[in-house]
Order: sequence, then C-alpha cells, then structure tokens
Amino acid sequence: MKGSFKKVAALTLCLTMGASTGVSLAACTKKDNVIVDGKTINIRMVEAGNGVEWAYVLADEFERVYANEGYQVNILEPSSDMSGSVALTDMAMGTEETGIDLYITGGIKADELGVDGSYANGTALAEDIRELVYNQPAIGYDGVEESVKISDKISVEQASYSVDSHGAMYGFQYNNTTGGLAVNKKKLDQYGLELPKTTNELWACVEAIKLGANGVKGSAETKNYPFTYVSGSNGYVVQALQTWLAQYDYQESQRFWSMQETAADGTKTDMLTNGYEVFNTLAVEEMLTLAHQYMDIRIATNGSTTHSLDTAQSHLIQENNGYQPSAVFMFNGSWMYNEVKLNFNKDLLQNITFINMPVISALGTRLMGSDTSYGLDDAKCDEILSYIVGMVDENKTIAEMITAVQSEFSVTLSEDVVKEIARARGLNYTRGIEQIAVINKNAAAKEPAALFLRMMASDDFAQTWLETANSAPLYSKNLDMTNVTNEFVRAAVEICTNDYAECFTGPRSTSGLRKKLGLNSTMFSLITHIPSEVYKTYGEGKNVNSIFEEDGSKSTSKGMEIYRTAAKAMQEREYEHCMGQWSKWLTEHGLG
Amino acid sequence: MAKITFRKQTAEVKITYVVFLIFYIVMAFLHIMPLGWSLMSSVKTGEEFFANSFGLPTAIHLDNYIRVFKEFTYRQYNYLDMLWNSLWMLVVGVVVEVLASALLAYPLARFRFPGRSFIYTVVIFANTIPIIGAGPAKFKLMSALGFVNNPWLIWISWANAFDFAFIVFYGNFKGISMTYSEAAKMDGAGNLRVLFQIIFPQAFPCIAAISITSAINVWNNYSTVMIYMREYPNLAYGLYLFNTAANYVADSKPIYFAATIISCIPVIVLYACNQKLILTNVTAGGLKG
Amino acid sequence: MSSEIKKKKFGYSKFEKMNFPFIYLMIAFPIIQFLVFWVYVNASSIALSFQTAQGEFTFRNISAVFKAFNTVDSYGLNFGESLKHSLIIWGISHLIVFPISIITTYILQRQIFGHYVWRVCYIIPSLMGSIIWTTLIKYIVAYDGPVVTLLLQAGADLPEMVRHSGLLASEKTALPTVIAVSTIMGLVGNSAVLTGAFSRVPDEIFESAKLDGAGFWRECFQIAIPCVWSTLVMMMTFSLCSIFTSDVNVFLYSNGTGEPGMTTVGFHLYIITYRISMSGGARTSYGYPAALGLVLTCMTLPVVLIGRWLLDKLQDAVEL
Repeated sequence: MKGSFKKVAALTLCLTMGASTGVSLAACTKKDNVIVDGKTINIRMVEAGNGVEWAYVLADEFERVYANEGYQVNILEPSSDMSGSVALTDMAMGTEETGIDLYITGGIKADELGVDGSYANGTALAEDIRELVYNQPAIGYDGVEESVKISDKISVEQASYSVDSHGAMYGFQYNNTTGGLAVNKKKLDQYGLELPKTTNELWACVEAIKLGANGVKGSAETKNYPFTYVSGSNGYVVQALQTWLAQYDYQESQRFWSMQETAADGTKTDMLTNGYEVFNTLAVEEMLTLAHQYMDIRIATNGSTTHSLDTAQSHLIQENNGYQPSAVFMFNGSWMYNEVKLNFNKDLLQNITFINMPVISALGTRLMGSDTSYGLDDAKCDEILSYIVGMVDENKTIAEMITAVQSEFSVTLSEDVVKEIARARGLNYTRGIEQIAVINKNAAAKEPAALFLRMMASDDFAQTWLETANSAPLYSKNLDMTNVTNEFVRAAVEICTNDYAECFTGPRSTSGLRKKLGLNSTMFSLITHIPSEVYKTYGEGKNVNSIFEEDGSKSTSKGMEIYRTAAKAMQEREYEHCMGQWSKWLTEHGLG
Repeated sequence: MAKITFRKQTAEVKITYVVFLIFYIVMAFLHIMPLGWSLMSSVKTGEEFFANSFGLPTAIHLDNYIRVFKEFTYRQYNYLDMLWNSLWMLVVGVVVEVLASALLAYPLARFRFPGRSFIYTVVIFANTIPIIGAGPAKFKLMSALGFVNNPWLIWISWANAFDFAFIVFYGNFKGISMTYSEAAKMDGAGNLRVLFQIIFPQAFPCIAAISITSAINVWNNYSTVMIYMREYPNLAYGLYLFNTAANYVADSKPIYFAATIISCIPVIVLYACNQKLILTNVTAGGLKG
Repeated sequence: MSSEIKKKKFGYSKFEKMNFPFIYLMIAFPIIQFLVFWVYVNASSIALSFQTAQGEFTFRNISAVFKAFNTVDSYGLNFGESLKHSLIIWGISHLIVFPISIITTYILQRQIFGHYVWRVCYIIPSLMGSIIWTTLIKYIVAYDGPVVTLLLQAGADLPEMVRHSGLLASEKTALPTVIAVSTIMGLVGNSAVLTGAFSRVPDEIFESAKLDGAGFWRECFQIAIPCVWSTLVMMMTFSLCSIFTSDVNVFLYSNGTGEPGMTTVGFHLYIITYRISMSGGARTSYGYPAALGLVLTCMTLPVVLIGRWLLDKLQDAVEL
C-alpha cells in the first residue's frame, strides 16, 4: 500500500507539473503600452552606454515640430537587453503582434534584417530606408530640410555596414565611436612625456614609466605602471590588435578577422574552401609582435589579469599615491566617459584624455624603410611617421603634408605613402557603427518614423547627441564644443570627426567559422597566454625582469628580440593548428 | 557522547589524539587567520595596508570604524542604507521562512487529514529530486509578478515551506507528546492557542536553532539580492559592490575591512552564544520517502 | 482487509473533521507558494526549453546545449569544461573530504581538548559569508600574500603569472587554489546535522563497547558511524543532488568571469541568471538556459536514483 501510494504521489506531482507546463506553453506574452494609430511612433530602444536621455530630447523636439500633424513619440521602457538576437526575435514577431514601429538597437548585421536573415523567413524584417531616409535631406529642429541629403553626410564605408547583400539598407546608424587609448595626462606629464603618436613612441613612454624618468622613480617604487588591463576575454585589447593590423595592411586585416577572401568583384569566399593561410603573413607577424610587447604583464598593474573593468579603470583614473596600484594608459574606447562618470568625481575625470591608437611603427618601415626607394633607417621612418600623424590630427591636406615633410626632413614622399599613413591614423575601430535604428516592416507609423530618423540625422540633433550622449555624432562635423567641458569627450569627438576618420569593425562572421573549425586561437585569450610564451622563449631559469632591468640599464633591444621570437613561435603554431583543422574539416566533409 | 580521556588510552591512541589535536589547531588557525588579518587591516591606514598588507599595524586607527558610516558608499547607497536593508531582510526573511515551515509541519505532524501523507511525500520528493537550472524561469516569473526590486512583495518568494527546516520541525513536533495538546483542548483552548501557547514553547529550542541558522544565511545572502533586490543592497551585496567598484578613495581598503568586521561580528557572537542550542536541535533522521 | 478495519484506518472522527478548516487554512499559503514557486517555475523551465522566444515549439535549444558540450556557448562559456570542473570538485569534496570530515566530526564530538573553541573557529567562514571570505582569500593568495611568498621561499616553481598576479591569475593554479580552500574548510567537521546526530548516540553504547574491549577506532567505525548511518545516508543523498552543480564561489573568486579556467556548472547557471537579471529580462531568450537546466536534470536524476538505491541497500546492511 505504501509503495502504491508513493507511485500515486509521484504521478500526481508529475501530472501537476505537466499541467503547469501546458499552461506555461500557452501563456500569452505581456502586451506593452503601445498606441497603434498611425501617428504615434512606438519605439523600443536599447539602454546602452550612451544612455537614453538623447531620445527623449529628440522626441520632445519632434512632437513640437509636428504638433499640427499630431505625431507623437511613445518610447517604451528602455532595456539593456534590446539588441542583437533579442531585438531580432521581437522584430520577427511582426508589427501586428508587437505594435512597435521603430527599434533603436544594435549588434545586428545588415543581412540579418533582410530577406536572407535567419529570423526573416524570406521576408525582410524591416523597411528599406534608402528612399525613406537616406536619400532624403535631414530635418532640423525648426522643421526645415537641410540642403544636403543624408547619404552625403556619411561616408560610403560607414554606410556600407547597413547595406545587405542585395543592396537594401535597413539600419539607420546613429553613433560614432572608436577604440583607442585612454591616457591619464596628469600622470604622463610627471614623466615629461608627450602623447604618443606611434607604437615606438608609446613604447618609449612605457620604458620611461617602468624604469623612471624626469626625476620620477620606476614602477617598482611608485606603483605607477604603464598599463592596466581587464581580466577575462578582453575586448579592449582585441580592438587594439585589430587596429594595428588594419593600420599595417587593411586588406589583410579584413581577411584575417573575417577569414574570408574578397575578390575584385566583391564576392567573398571563406577559407574553408580556398585554404587561405590566414596566419602566414608579415602583417600578422607584426601585429603579434606588438601583442606580445604590450600584453607583457610586467608593464601592467599587478593583478591585471584578474581585474574587473571597474578596478582597471580606477587604476587609470585615481591619482598615484605611491602605494596603491596605478596606471597611465588603458586600451579603451571613446565611450569610456559614460562608463566612469558615475564612479568618479569630475576633477579626477578632467585628468583623463583619449587618443587614437598610435600608428604601428612597422608601417613606417614598410613604406619608407631600407627595403624601399627611400632607404631610411627605422628611427627616421618613425620620426617622419610621427610627424605626418600629427598633421593628420590637425586635418592638414595631403599636399600640405608632403610639403611639410619635404621641408622638415628633405624627403619627398609620394602621395600614396602619405595617404596610406593618413588612412592608418584615421582608422577608427568602431562598434558604434553597429548601432542602428530600424523601422519595423509594415509599421503603422512608418512615415512619422522616417521623419524621426531624418531629424536624427540633422545638425541640430548632432549637437543634442554630443551634449547628452557624450559621444561623437555621425552626421555632422561642425559642432559647437562650448558646452563640452570634459577633456576626454572633447578629444574623443575630435578623433571621430577628423577629416581622415574612417570606420571599420571586426567582421562578426569570424566566430561562426572559428567555431566550425574548432580553432583555439580566438585572439581573446592572448593576454593570458602571451606572458608564458615570452618566458618560455627567454629561457628557463633566467630572470625575465631583465628585459627591462638588466645590469641596471634600459635594455630594450633584447626585449624586442624576445617579443618577436615569441610572436613568431605563436604565429607558426597557430598556422600549423589552423591548417590542421582545415584539412580535418575538409576530410570530414569529403572535400579534401 | 562519551568524552575521550587522554590518560586512559593506549600509546597508539595517545599518538592519534596528539596528531588530531595538532591538526585541529592548524585548521583552527587557517580558519581564523583571515578574520584576524581582516581585523588587523581594519586599523591600518591605506598607505600602511599597501606598503605591508600582512604586517602588524604600527598604530591602531579605530577611526576607520567611524569612517565606515561616512565613506562606505556605492553610488547612492551608504552603509546605513545597506545595514537597514540587511536588518529588514533578516527579520522578514527569518520570520516568513520559519513560520511557513512550522505552520506546514505542525498540521502534518499533529493531525490526521486527507492529503497529509501526500503532502509529506511531496516535501520529500521536492527535497530529493534534483531539478536544476530553473533560475531564469524563476526570474521570468518574479519579473512578471513584479517581485523584482519590490520590498513589499519579495517576502512571498522567501516563504518556502518545503525545505529542510520543514523536516526538522516535523520531527520535532512529532516528538512532542499529544497529551499536552489534548489536555489544553479539554480546558477549552482552540487550535491556534494550542499552537502558540503549548506547542511553540515546547519546540522553542528547535525554532530558535532554525531561526538562528536561517538568520545567518539571510544575513550573508548576496546571490539572491544581486538578482532580485539589486536596488536594495544588503551588507553582503554592498561589501561586494564596494570592493569591486571604482569608488576608491586613497585608503578605502581599511574601511572595507572595518565594514566586514562590523558586519560579521554580530553573527559570530550570535552563533557562539547559541552553538549548543543549534547543534542539539537541528536534527534530521533518515528520509523515508 | 475487512470493511470495519478499513473504515477505522481511513475514516475521520467528527472531532478530527472539526480541525479541517484550521488545518487547510494553515497549509493553504505554503501549498500555494510551493505550487507557484516550485511546481510552476520548474514546469515553466521545462516548457521554455522547447520554446523559441516567439513561443513556437522547437528542439533548437536542446541541440544548442549538446553543441555547447565541446565548444563555447552563446554566453561565452565552455559547458564541457564547466562540467568537468564540477565533477572534479564533487569527487574531491564528497568522496575524499566528506569521509574524512565524518572522522573529524566524530573526534570533536568525543570532546577532544578545546573542542568547543575549535568548533567556533571552524564555523567562522560560514558565519562570515562567502563575500567576505572569498575577498580575504583573494588577498591571501595574491602575488604579495603569505601563500605565494611561502611557496617561493620553499623553492616552488610558480608560473610567472602567479608571481605577478597571484594564484588566481594562472590557469594552472586558479582552480586548484579554489579547490584547496574549500577542501581545507570541509575537512573539519562543521556540519550541524552530523554533529547533532553524533550527539544523540547514547554513552551507554560506548561504555558497553569498552567493557567488551573495543578500542578507539573500533568504537568509531563499528559503533558510532553505524549509529548515525541514516543521517549519513541522508547527507549523501543530498550530496548526490549536487553532483553537477557543485560550486565553490567561482563567481566571487573570478569577479564574475569564470576565468582563468575556473568555470563550474553552478557558476555557469548562476551567471546566466545573473546576466538575464542585469538585462531586466525584457524579452530575452530563456530557451537555452532552460534547456541547459533540463539536460542537467536528466543527467542527475539517474545518478540520484541509482545512488539512493545503493545507499538504501547499504543502509539496510548497516542498520542495527
């Protein structure tokens, strides 16, 4: 009886759970407070680093301008989750179900919104905004159309990220950001150092801080280190590496990260089919050498590999008091101000500035070095490289730069060389380009939503964006910086609005292919693996600190040799591993 | 249990005794060392802490304990806010958990009614069948019900009666002689009166023991606060935030340690004073289910 | 069974029936709370495993879980690695540490010199709470802490990462450090349940055993432990439920990243819920995490049932 009773109890419990499961499966989703009347734009937006205040300011202006037409803006509660696949699944439900007209979101590739998207089921999820928005002029806060079309206010490269394989444009970009170096200028000044423009100059700063300069003692005594890092899969470090690789050879960087070869006619083939030797290039060797150099934990605050983002940022921002860990540089992004403004007082934040990634010095050698017609030594190459970079930052023209170099160094550089350097400096690794506004397919308030986006492209909104989102606007470079009092924001905006600024981003398709191949070098683990490789290369039992402090002298040549040797070893190893994985995959699929 | 006397043992047992005693002493040191170090660090200056984090303090700075109340902050929350949150979560959490378990255990242990065995079996099943990974589903439900960051409703999710406390109460209530309640009923007492004036006083040591263990768990709970009550950080969560946040002043570390000492002394004292009560009353026999 | 006896066994007297309103009123709230927060939540979790975010039926989530066994999942974590770590932790804590802790608890209960003081000392980590304890441990195993200093002085060949950033910075030492800390804490008996069980073993049994010439260890293994066997079986049963979810505060030791190489299943599950909560849970995809839980439950159930069966057999063999 007891046994059968237990069975009855178990069965009842299971049935109850089963019934509840059924109820859950049938549970209807919560309806939000949407107003579907064709005049109210229902917006679902992501709450990200730039905050949401700008949206409400814009909404107020929009409603004021279109009061006669009765257009309203209904911003539903912003959520930090409303991006990527979450936004896509919402869009896939359709506007009839959700009532949403406009998504302000991010992390979505253009093809995902179009007919080829995995959520799309053959029909695009969004409205094509080429005629609705891009080929129209922006609309100011006075309701007057601007004199130029929106498509003329954005570079072709930037806009291309919103264009899918069929040439349709679904995403309206609104953010302009870049990765770079956050610098504590106050600490840097103590060593008598200038903001570095090339990686050699950055390394000179690292040495000065590590060993001491200008009457200030070295890191061991001051506890002030060149760098501070964040633990875990360190995206900031990877954006630095992506930038350096792109500076050295843009085409190569696109191949490397996307693992795709792009033919002259624009068609892409992935490396599974053409066996492209992604790790076997000089560009990658140069990038890995820099990676080994800068990811050396001895130039970072102790415990860097275990720091949270907050801790790492505090090392950068807090003043050096001689006993608490402190740093001068941190790989970060133009959005950093929004991350830290809550945690630190304004006085401390005024010490922080932002610089574009120093240009990889190997570029100077490649363009002007002993193997070229200019035949210059490495030091001269770097000096000229730095000089040109400075002029790029001042928005000088190519002709002006050529003239200036001729005058200063008695070297006549070709236009191509100067353009390539200018491009390298202007390359802005951006994730902001992935942040888009999307008009839902068949949205009831499609027309008002399009007008809303056109207002977002205006010079008036650019000012709003600058002052409320603390970020560079995408559609204007003529900005009134009077109200921008923070040094960091000012510097970041100037970089993004530079005449030579060119956005690029790491192709997201890599991760799928890498997973397919089971590649272990995703580059995210560099910061934990590299130090052990450097020490392996240097040899067992030696004092690895001597890269910096051998015989009390600043011996960097030995260090460079070690970094390059370790980088080459890693490159060879990853190359072998890659080729092995590819041939295994080909064999498994009957292609090899 | 019978005490083992050193003198009356064989040589072999004496050696074992000494070995184990040394083992216990070493273990005690290892267990107490972090607390001792925390205490030592709490009276240093920031400079002294970083210069020599494991050395003895050169001077005792008790003002760090005062500074906790002024400088221990995370964004808009200060120490007193976190202390208040800890206190109300403690009181409410302990009361609802103990009451829920006791009020479920009492009828099951003392009365016969339809469904009694079934409910008991369900409790045993719920405790022994491992259903894993319902965290996201629970969060979804709590969000939908509006419990997240809602101090007026969150206690409902804490009132879990189908847990280990039930098993302890069940055993305890079953062990109380029926004579007491029968006698009280004959004198005209109602069920509630019997429960609160006869049974609860009899079971007081058990209730106290469960309350104390529950109090310790609630006081130190950070994981559920981190997910469900982030806008009402308690001391445990606050300590986590303060330590990871960038809100450093130059000598924030000694303040952090002072805050940890302040927050853990009450529970240590509470446990030390009631150790015997807890150890003898938190009992559970085999689970025949 | 005759109808009379049946009636006596299953009928309720008038007196008993008078208590029914009181009883059902008392148990109403706990039952409803259980139905909502256990039955519905678990059922909902099972249902979510088979749903897309739009609510359509799919097996996609389950297959994503199986794929995640040997690759990185959508949360950036390698589930296979987490599972391996969890099994190692469970094996050490329940197959090695737990038996030792039974002996140490027993000896403490035999009132070895200073037992009261030792007990208070051993409970201190639990009283301090995980947050404080793990923070203190992080300092102790830091690059300038006593552990690394002592190890270096003893001539240990530590990875450079450890010399720079501490034991929790290197893949080789992070998880072993965390396991070592939890092992030290688990070796000494601080289980209230077990201590309570030992305290109820009558003294007379030891006296009569002594009279029969039983030595110290014989008293331990042949008298004391069999007396508390049912409690041990209960504890071992509970421990079986945590076979895949053993966690040693990895979240706190690793600042929520699980690196380097410290992820466990418990951490994996918690971090998913934590990230969902950080995002506000708005229209997020619950399918994958729910499927993860379901797969883990299906893996754990047979282990628990077989384990319980074995333990019941052992219990019958041991029972006096």
